[in-house]
Amino acid sequence: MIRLFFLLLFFILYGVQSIFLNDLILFSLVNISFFSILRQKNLYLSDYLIFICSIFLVEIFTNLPLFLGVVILSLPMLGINRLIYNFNFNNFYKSFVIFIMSLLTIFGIDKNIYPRALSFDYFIFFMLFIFVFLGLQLYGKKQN
Amino acid sequence: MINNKKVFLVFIICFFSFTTLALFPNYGDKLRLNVFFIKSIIEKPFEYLYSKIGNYFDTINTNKDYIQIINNLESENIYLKEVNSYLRLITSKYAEQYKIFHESTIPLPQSVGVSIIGNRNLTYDKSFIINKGSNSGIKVGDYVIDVLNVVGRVKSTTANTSEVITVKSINYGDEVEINSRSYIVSGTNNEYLSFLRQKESMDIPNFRFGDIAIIKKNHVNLMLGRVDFIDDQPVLLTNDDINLNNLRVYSDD
Repeated sequence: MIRLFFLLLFFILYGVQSIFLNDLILFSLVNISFFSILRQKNLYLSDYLIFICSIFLVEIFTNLPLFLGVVILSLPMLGINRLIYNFNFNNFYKSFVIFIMSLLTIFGIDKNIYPRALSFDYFIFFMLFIFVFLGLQLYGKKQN
Repeated sequence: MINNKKVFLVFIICFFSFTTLALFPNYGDKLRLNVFFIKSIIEKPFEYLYSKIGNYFDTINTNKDYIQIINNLESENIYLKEVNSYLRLITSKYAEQYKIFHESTIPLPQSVGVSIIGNRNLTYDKSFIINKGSNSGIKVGDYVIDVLNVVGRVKSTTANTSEVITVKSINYGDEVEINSRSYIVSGTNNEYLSFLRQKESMDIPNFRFGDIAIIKKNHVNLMLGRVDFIDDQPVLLTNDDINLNNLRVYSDD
């Protein structure tokens, strides 16, 4: 449900604000799609549909051939899923794999992102996310 | 690994959808345009709220400044009205003369005001989506202009949306006229267009820096760019100062 909400939010937000936010939205969509495949050992229909929706939105926004990502990425992602869950990695490593794969995908989609990636705006966004994460991890439990 | 037959079934459906859209790319374009049309509909209430809230805070913060600006504009407006009435008086003579010689009134170009609803930043592709389509009389090949500067041409249309390839796109090509000679130019995905050849002539083109390339239509001459040189090769520099909030689709009928 949270992922569907974010899909709708990103669908509305894309193209409204700055080019940096557009890049982050695409990055988040790719993240959601990979997470949907890799979140559990068994792949369920709901997760797969969310994967298709998020990849479809990326293809729509970046003018790639439609359903190309679903056809190309499905089997390799299932292979990576099998690899990760057979070795029983820690959640941190699973998240790291999703992050790195999303990063490679977003760099593969557009070569023009290389000069933009050095922008200070991204640094601010990432610092914001990191501090929110650290804050929740350190002080979130105290609330409970 | 896959414990659900439905997943495999969905994959098969996606595979066949992909092959169908790859074989018939026109359907893919239509689907993409319709998705952006749905996006524009969903965005409307949020845009309305955003503009209302933004206007509310703007009026609170800058009311005094606006009063001062309005006073200045009012005095300037009075002056411009006087100039305008004088110019109308002068041009009315020419309009009358034109009417005598051509036995008709001055033809006005038919155009439709449009706004961009998709890929405004031209990030991944040098094309964008506009909010009007065949229902508004827009056809494939129509020119999208800002004042008289060509921004691009309509590539495909649906009932309510259209896709426009900009002059910067590598897919853009057109016939232009420079110093009364016709040339074929093509986009390069950069800030300039390259010359492919001179139309129906074997003469060596003789360009000068700053020559204006125009596209001649029935009622109006549209400007595409100015001649510049990169490594002694002539190119056509497009106008970077384009207002994407002031676009019109020019139909040459």
